Amino acid sequence: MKADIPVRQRYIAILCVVALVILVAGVLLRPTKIPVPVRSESEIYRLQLLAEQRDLQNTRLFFEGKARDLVAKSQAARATPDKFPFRSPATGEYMLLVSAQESGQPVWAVTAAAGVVKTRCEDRELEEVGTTISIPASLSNAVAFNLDGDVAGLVVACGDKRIVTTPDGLRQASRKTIRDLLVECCGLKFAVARDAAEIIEVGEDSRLKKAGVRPGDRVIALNGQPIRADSDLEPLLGGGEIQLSIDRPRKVRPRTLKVPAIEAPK
Amino acid sequence: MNELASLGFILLFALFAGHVGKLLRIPEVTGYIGAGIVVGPYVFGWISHDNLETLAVFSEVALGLILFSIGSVFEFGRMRATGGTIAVITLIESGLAATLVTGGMLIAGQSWAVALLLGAIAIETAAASTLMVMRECNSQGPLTETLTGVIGINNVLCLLAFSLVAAGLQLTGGLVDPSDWYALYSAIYPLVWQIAGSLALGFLVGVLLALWSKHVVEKGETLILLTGCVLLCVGVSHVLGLSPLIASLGVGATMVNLSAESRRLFQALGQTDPPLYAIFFVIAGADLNIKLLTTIGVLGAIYVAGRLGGKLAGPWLATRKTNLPQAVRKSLGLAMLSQAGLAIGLTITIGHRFPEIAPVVNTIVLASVVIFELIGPLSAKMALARSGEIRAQPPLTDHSF
Repeated sequence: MKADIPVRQRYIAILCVVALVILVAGVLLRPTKIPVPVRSESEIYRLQLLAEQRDLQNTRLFFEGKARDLVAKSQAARATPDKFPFRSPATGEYMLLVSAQESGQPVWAVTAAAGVVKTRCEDRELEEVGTTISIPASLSNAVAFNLDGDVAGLVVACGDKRIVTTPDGLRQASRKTIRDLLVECCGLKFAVARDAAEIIEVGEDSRLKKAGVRPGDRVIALNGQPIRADSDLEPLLGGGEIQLSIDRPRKVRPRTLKVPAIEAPK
Repeated sequence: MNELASLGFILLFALFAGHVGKLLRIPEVTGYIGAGIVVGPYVFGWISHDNLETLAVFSEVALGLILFSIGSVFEFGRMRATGGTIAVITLIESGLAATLVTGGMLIAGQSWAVALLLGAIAIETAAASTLMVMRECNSQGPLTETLTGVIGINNVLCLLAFSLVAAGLQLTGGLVDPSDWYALYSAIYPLVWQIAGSLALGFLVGVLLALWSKHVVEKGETLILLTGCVLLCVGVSHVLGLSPLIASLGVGATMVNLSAESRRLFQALGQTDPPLYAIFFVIAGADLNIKLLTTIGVLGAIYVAGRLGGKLAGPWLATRKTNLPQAVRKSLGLAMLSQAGLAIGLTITIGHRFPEIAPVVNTIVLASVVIFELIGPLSAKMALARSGEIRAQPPLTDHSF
């Protein structure tokens, strides 16, 4: 039995005192100042570089992880960008441009938002979110996310470059313009310049053609109103009678063409 | 998932994994660790990093209790009989593992700092998983006795070697100006404080436990006393910057030598701690980043091979002249392959004290821990089976009503 073993109480008491002394001395003698290690300037520079490399590596891994998450999330939910909440990016805010490859691997780039401005892309006017990078072709159909996972914009082609536009701006831009509608109704293609609409093409069966409008004509007035913008040609979309003042090449004076009204179906 | 739900989930999943482990005839510990890897943030992510951080307190308590149990091996009577053999075995197996890893790293062109630190870490054998396999197998015999003793000393030796290497590197590596006495003192202080302070704290808490246990009769009260003392020991260790492992080991060693109640206490502990251990191993598994295996590279392979060589050959060499049975001599090394807790803890220290070499050392250690934690319990069970020390579990007699 252990209880029968004589336990030398005195020795235990002495050992307890020794243990206490060790602990108290250890706490009291603990070095309080952190000694500055001896390092040469080149060593300090090398360590700084190492720390910076590590920071960069961590940042890259952070964004890569975010991009993977976003691609996985949208693929798992079969979600298109309009299913994500949209938040207009503040100036200086990070945006992650993410596009998924066929393999499911993300292609990504990081940029900061530099304000929203109106910009013209061919015949469309878009809301452009400024970026601090030139967007590569591999991100042609990318979605711009902020770091909370909200959609901040969409990458679209604008001439030979790519820009980030807001989903709202893209929706507005995708609405049919007067130009599109005139092509649909009358096969009419034109260019507005110098207070006139120069006719490029006109549909064979259109009432304009029947009234005598030809490619190369310059429409200088419509119902007596001058032509300064596409919207001035809007009456052509209606069905009423229209008077066009036409300036034709090699003709000295402008002539007036009467476009008859469309007959209402009986 | 919130912390309580994740805790419940961990326990139930651990139980399920334990059943699967039994079906596959692998140790429950491997099942728990495997389950942890699956539910952890690196595979399915059902348990997040935040959950793990909050639940870390359970790991601390469980590790404290495990080391406390191991401390019971250091009974004077037993140590007088087998202490010499155990010390020799530990020194040789640790020394060989450290030498092989250090040598391999130097041949591979690594600096002395990287090679020595990895050599020191290679010494460690995970106490928790090895002890749990012995418990699960209800093993008894010379291998179990020797193994428990070796693991106890091994962890102290690993910490001592690491502290020595770290202080030596700071002194010789130009990180400390030898003429600056204060800087010199700051480098040596942790070496002495971690060992002497931890043992002193363990002794004091052990005396408190031994004296109080004489007046505690009920099983419930016994458990309160025991858990309270281990928590106090682990908590104070953290406050004072000591090693909770060595301090808990000290509590167990003091208790077993001073109290006649020690057997009752260790029995009470054995009947109530399984949920805590299940949580501990699932959390340990969830913390293992399985993806690191792809980064192990040539240096990692050298580390694994060096440590395997040392751990397998060391005990065999050390026990050649002893009267241990042949089966034990052949199996001891096989039972000592696990590596986890202390090694992971030391990587954090390296991050603070040697930031410039930390990425290399930590990647190698953390990747190889994944390997050793998966094969360690399996090989330990195999060793116990080979030496014929596995016993059937006794029937439960502790009925509640």
